[in-house]
Amino acid sequence: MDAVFYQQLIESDSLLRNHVQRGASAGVALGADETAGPGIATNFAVLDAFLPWRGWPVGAITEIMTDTTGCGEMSLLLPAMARLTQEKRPILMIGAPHTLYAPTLTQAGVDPSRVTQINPSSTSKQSKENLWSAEQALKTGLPGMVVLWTPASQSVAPEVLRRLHLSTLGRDTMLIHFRGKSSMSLPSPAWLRFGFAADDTHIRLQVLKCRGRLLTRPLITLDRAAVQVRLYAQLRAARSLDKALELGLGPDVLSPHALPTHSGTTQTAHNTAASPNVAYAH
Amino acid sequence: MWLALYIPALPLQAFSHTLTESAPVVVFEREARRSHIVARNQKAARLGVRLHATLAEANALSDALVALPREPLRETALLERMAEATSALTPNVHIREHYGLLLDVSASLAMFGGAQAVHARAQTLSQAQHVRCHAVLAPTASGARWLSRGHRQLVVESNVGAWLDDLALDCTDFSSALNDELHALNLHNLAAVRRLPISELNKRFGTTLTHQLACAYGESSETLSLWQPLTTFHDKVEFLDLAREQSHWMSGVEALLLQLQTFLRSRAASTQAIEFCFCMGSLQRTRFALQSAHGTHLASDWLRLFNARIDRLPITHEISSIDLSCERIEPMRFSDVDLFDRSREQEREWGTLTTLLRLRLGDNALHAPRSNANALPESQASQTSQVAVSAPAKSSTRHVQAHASTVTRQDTSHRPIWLIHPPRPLTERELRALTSSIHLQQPERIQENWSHPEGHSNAQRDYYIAKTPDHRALWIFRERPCNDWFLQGVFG
Repeated sequence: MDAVFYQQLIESDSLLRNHVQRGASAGVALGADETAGPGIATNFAVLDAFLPWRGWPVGAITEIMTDTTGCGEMSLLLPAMARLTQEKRPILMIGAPHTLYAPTLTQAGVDPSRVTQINPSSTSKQSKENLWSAEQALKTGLPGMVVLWTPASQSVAPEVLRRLHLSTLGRDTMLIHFRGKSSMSLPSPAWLRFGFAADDTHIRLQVLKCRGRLLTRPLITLDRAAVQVRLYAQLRAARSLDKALELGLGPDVLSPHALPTHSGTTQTAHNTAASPNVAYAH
Repeated sequence: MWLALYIPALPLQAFSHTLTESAPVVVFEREARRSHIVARNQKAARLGVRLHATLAEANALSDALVALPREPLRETALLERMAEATSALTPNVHIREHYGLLLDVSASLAMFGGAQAVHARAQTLSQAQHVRCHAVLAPTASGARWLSRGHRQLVVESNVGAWLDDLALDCTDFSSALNDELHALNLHNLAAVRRLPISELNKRFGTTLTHQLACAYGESSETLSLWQPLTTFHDKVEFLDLAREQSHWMSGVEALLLQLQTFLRSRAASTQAIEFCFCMGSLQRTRFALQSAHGTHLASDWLRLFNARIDRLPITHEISSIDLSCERIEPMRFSDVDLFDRSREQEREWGTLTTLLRLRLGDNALHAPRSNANALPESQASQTSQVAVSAPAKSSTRHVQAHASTVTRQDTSHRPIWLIHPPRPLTERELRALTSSIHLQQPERIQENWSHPEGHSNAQRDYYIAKTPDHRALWIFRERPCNDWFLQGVFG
């Protein structure tokens, strides 16, 4: 029955062909990571291990629902942003709450020249413009990542989300959509949805939807200090490698102790970093 | 071989076809104190308006008649446009005022598949320009020109004399006085004139008549000045009534862009900037400039950019005409195709996308992250600023407990990902809330040693990372020596 249904869908619309084939595969082999599709590693081992795409899903929408900014939510994206900009892929930030600060991006290994920001906006008209901009960017498939902020006070119509979803399908790009927590109970075509919460020490990701996974609503906990350490580890490693090459040393002689420390705060965080863990709860 | 394109109603067709097809229209010319009709459209002809009638007679026939004065400049512009279009057939185009075009197509016959094919293509081109014209192909320029006044379509590949012999004298370039004289002698066609001895004709009418006949019959050569292609584009559409809704005047925009596309394509050129001018008579004008990230000649590309811009900045007044101008064109550049590296192609597409977003959202809507690691964050003078980073003096504010630490390297300092620009002063209430819950760490002094354009001369700031009760991390600073507190950034 399912096979016949999927075959009819494939034959009915060329646009849906790729999507349906993926959906059919995921439906048949639920939880089989090999069939989930491509992803960009988050650089957080526990998150990568949990997600079927081994990272943020490419060609799909990821929704992160939080009401506050400044709690470490961008830390989750920076490693993927760094990876994409190193591959010379542009990144578009639409409706961000504030202006991005380039030195911080550089510290995290993100090439600021590849990042374009569209002015912060809050009014209803500008919010529509933001959605239009996101759709236009996604349709081209050019940006490696489009990050969209929708104010917590504004709701996004299901048909708009559907349009954004169709714009990402089958393209080598992804949409990260920051929404308010009030959207958690609303339906969405996003492949990955989770609520974001943080305190001084931990980041908690309540997974609401993960395409290809059973609906166990797991709670993933990341150590906030460890997140910070992980952010800068890649940059430190690259710098120490450059330094070693300048001195005529090979990478094999480098040890973790040889890595330069940045500041007292960062050093302390590195020493006290706990391993991220994941807890499953209904 | 010469192709003559004769436009009989040139004074009328010089006006845009949307105007002349919408109502009974006549074009009049003022001569002394009398205005007479020089052209009329079919609707006016059906009302009974005759050529050479006076304007008063025409107005007496109908109240709905639209009378337009003859505009020679418009006629020249139409001929230029026609020359543009027909230059696809041959570069040797001659514009003849008050007549039409003459094209030397001798070298193009083989390429286009013969005389009939060239003739058909010329007609297609003129139809695309919404211009009704007679098209005659003949071995001589004068012969083709004269024949075109008497025939709508004709291809004469040889023996042009046989066709010219039957031609009435009114179809020639002879002056009206000469025509009258010839008619008085009972000479009504060219064959009758040519039967007279050349010496007698020269003696009575001068050598001009015999020279013109020799040129038309191919017995003598003639010299024509050829048209030089324009390097700028200007075109215009007009509306009979004031157009209020965008749906009413949008067809004019599309028509203009198609003209531009034809203009650019015929030169293998592209452009990066065009400008529309929406006019309501002479009362109001709205200029509408569009710029593309890279040169393009396609009307569809420009239309896409236009639609993006018009959504943001709609035209608020009524429109009577639309001008389109393109002052600068550049040779068409073909993008490099690399099967293994698509980065150039992607950069080009990215430029197109950012242009579209700018047009829709505004020129200042898109920006890069602020890049100034070596000075005060909001400063623009990153290259010339000098920064001193040192441990701050002990806080003089009793509410704040600062833990000083020496920061030796700027690039290792902890910086927020979000910048508040310009820094927002913290209110007394916020400060009071902070005193009970805020925890300060990593104080860092950033000092700028010279004056910069934004006026932060000798600024000295002590920066702190503050944790708020809702677990947010803020980057705040205290301005010296006034001790005011500001919010500068948010950690993400």
